[in-house]
Amino acid sequence: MTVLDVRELRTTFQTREGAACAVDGVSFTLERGRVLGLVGESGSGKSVTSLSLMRLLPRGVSVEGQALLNGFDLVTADDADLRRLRGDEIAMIFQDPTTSLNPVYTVGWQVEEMIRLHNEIPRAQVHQRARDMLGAVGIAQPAARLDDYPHQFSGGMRQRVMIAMALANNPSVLIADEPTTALDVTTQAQILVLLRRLRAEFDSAIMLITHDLGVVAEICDDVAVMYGGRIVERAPVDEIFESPRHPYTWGLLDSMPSRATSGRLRSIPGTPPSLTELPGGCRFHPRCPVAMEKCRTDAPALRSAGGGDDGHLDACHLAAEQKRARGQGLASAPAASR
Amino acid sequence: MTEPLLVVEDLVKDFPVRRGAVFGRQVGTVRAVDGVSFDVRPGETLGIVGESGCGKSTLARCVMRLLDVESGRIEFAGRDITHLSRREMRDVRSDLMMVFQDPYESLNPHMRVGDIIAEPLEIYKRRPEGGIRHRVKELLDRVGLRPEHYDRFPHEFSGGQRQRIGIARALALEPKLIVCDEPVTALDVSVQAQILNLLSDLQGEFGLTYIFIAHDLDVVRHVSDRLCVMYLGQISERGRCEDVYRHPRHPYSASLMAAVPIADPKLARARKPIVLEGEIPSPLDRPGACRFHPRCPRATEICAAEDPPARQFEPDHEAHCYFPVERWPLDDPSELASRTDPDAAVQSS
Repeated sequence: MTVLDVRELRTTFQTREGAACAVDGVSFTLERGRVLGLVGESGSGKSVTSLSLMRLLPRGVSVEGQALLNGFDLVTADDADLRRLRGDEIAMIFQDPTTSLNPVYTVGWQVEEMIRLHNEIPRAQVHQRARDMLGAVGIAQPAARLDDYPHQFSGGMRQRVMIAMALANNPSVLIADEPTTALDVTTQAQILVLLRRLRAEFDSAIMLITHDLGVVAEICDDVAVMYGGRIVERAPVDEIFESPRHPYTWGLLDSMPSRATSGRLRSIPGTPPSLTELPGGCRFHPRCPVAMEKCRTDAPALRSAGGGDDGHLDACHLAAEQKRARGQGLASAPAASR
Repeated sequence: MTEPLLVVEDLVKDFPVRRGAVFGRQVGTVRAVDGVSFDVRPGETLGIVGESGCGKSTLARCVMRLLDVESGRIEFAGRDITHLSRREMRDVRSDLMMVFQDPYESLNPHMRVGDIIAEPLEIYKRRPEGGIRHRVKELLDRVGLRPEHYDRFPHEFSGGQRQRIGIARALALEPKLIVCDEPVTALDVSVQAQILNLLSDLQGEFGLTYIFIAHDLDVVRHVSDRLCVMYLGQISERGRCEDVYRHPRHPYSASLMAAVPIADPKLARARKPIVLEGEIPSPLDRPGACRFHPRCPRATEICAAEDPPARQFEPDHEAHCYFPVERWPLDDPSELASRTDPDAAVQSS
């Protein structure tokens, strides 16, 4: 069931160097109980997409398009609507759990605040629910830990607290922006296991923003690859890894040391573009190994390469057979190396 | 066997712990590096992996003599450099360079790129053939930048390009050993791959030796010949890179490797994750004996009582553990907890 329907989202910043279109006509849907991975490098617009949906961008940043949360448009929502929705229907966890918790309030107070703001229930019940939430995210002795301050928690435990707060009101949509990037690998594994379990338990739609394709493979059901403010490829997770169709996705997969078959990595030349100097046509064409004349001028639409309805969309002018051949050749190589 | 280029023996580094805001009084010490020994052979890459707080960056700074050590020995190119004075270190430094993690912090923003790269040449009063400017342009070209970048400032460059500048600076004096401390951590995946390729090309071309420190196990596996796994200031396992990855013996290395996400959704779903309980304890209250025992699924009383001995596996592969992992990969994560008692094994055989 679709809980969030994003249509042609466009976010523009005014900078001294001119208008910067950080998100340029992005459309996708989030389904109940499924995890969508939004993947890209710095400046791809993945974080701005989430901030636009949460309406957390400063005034003066223009957000256009539609984002229908259970039919209610987030883009045109006023402050009162947003106060009601945030934390209740749509919640977010951030990369850095240290700066997202208030250091002068106890963890219990902060989790309870989230519950209190959206529910008129007696204090004892609020307290009970906060305790249950801490328990649900795997914090030992939750009753005692409620009285502790954020600095008494480790990084991984703080991220668990953030997740407990985000899920406290059982939101339809949970946005997780690089939730494990600041954590060590063994702690990351704990958080990924937790998210996988909670997805089943709470049945929220999760949008996971990450630059790490390994994390995507571990937890996502669907993937949208972003580059220069646009989605360049969108498909179920197995498809992305088994038959990627966009040259940028090929490059990302090729750049991963774990998928390398020889000593050299096939990296993507150049660097991701700055938002104020985005190239015309296909945004990836200056770095693309198979760019054609057409790619400089015409921006390719996001569509199904085979023309069929297999849920696999890409934005590339290359002929469908070429994409298929290259993508599958790429995918078959690394399996042996693991 | 060739003589090692660098030998580190039983290195110990403490940091003072102070209490009080202004006139901090020392209330104790934290042992960041605790009896670390390893060697690096000419032309190889030694990888050092571990999670935050394991002491890997402190170790790098000790080896570079940017920090003084409490005890132990550092021998570089046959010379004991452990207690050399700053002046004496100058002779050694030209052979021993470092590339830092953050290319935004490690380049002086007021200096032109050319001057940054030329600085080591100026300090060592080198007179390269064709002049310093010519040599710097050569270096710029070698690391994939353009000669006309000479007069630009660091802020005009992206993260990856800045890291190239840092590498050119490290190369300027034609060093023997370069210590790379998380050189690709701050970079995007596609740029990270470019820098890894560059480092590998330069190694082949100039016969460089690297110490490569990182927390990303896939990256370290890709670049290293040999590997040290660190936990709380100690090396828990070391060996040839492929040996350690193919069959990690220390339960910590094993759990670390099992925690790395697999970039293949089908394999990722099929795998039952091994999830370590808890997190790295603060170095302020480190557990005694085996540092890993409170989190270790295999630990017994002995692990809490006595330092585990080094056990040899393949030649040049050792782990400090009473109950090393018998086989890998595990069919089931719970196997990690079911150890065979070494004494029982001896009796039955």
